Amino acid sequence: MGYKSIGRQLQLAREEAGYSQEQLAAKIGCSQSTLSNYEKGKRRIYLAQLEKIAEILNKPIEYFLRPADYHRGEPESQSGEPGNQSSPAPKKKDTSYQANLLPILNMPGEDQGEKTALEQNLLRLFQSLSPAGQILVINFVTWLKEREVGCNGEF
Amino acid sequence: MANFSLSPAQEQLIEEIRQVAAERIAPVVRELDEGDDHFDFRPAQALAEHNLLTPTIPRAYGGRGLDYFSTALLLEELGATCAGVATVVTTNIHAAGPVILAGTEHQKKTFLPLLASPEPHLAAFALTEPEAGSDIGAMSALAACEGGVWKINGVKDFVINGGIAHFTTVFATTDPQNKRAGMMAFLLPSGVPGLKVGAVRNKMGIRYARTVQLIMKDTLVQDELVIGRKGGAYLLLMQTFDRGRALAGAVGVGIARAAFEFALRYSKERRQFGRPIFSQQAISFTLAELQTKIESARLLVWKACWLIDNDLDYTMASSMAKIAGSQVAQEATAAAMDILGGRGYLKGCPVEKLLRDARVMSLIEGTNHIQKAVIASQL
Repeated sequence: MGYKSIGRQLQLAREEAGYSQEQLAAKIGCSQSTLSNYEKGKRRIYLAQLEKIAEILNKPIEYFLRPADYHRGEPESQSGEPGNQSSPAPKKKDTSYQANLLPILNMPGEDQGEKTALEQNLLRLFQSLSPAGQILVINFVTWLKEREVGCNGEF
Repeated sequence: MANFSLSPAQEQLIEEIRQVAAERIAPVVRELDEGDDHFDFRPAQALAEHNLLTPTIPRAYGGRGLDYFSTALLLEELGATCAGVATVVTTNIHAAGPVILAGTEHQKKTFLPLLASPEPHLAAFALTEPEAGSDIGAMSALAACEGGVWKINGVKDFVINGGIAHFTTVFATTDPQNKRAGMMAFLLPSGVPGLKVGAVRNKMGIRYARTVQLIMKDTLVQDELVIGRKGGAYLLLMQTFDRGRALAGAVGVGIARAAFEFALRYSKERRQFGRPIFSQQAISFTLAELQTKIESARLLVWKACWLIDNDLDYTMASSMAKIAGSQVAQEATAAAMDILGGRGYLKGCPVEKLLRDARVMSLIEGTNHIQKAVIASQL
């Protein structure tokens, strides 16, 4: 019903701002479990609450409501102000996103042959994430890889 | 701690509305049902004189200031008298809702007192489009801002109170690709240039509630008539729906109660096989089951309204109340007609009208399928 994608954006914005669920919940005056349910889309967030969150996280309300594919490749607005209402912001390539993605794409030692079903599923899931979500995955995989390198001395 | 007793003020409200309904609405119900395109203002006038045509308008703006619980009590009574009249009232509540929730002080002072006046002022709520019903993200009515003035183009359908409203709360999009985030809400005063009434919808039930197409062609709206902050209209709409659904449930309970009471009376008077048909378990058990379901639906309505009034999470409860109210309305009217037999099928029999009115209850305010999707999304 749309609230799952609102919740996902909320989680991304919260994480981007460096707040834990407990911290943000305390700031907006709700419990951590309520905020968690907002983020999972299991509880409808009402306008007044989202306005509070938008203000704290310095995002325009539209940020949370845009369809998932609208966020893909869209530059992050740091000012919190979107473009003119009658002409929405053009969907440009996100250079910071590309910059994050490229090292992974160019990682050496990857098998360039035919992908297994698991790899294809992983790729599909990855592609269905928003750019910010993809960056989180990349960061995690990079960290995991570095840890393995540390353990096994390989890379 | 749960408390199921009504306050003296609520008991008094029920008495008040029963009196208005019995004296000013019930005598003309058949006329309202059979009426032509001409809107009969008599029931609206009767309610306006008691400041009950839009009962949720806050006292600060001249309204009655009823909470949702009390409003549900009112709507059950109206639903039991004439669901068409109840629908006109719920539409006024709907149209005023976004203004109450997110309107500017100027908007509130301009529009809310109108609906609280002793004259019957109506408001409309324009959302549905020919290609955007349950899927409101497919909305295509386009709003564009040019020099501080908005120009709206598009067609809205199933607009209750359309064409006779003093203002219409309209939803349009600034960017169809942007779906929810592009949605905006506007207040359109009556007579605004470019706003035309299209086809009048000839409905099976709730016939008193005049329902039309609205056509907006280069309709100009001042920026000061935008409701709420930019980007927030979708949530405003959902919140309005979540509140309205509990009230739709109350109307359903009213319809069910009226059908049940009519069938109960009839079953005690109608004699077959030498005794009242109520003495047959097939009849009395049916009525016993109906009474149980009506009470269950009423309690769900009350719970949802209590949650709304206490600013707690009411989304799921409201959808449940709407499903329960609409289902019991349809079940009770169908069962009542079975108890009445052929007499219930005749034009002029109250149960025949109740059955037609009940049918829309699973469609209006978001279909019951949508309500189930809302509930499922929270499981």
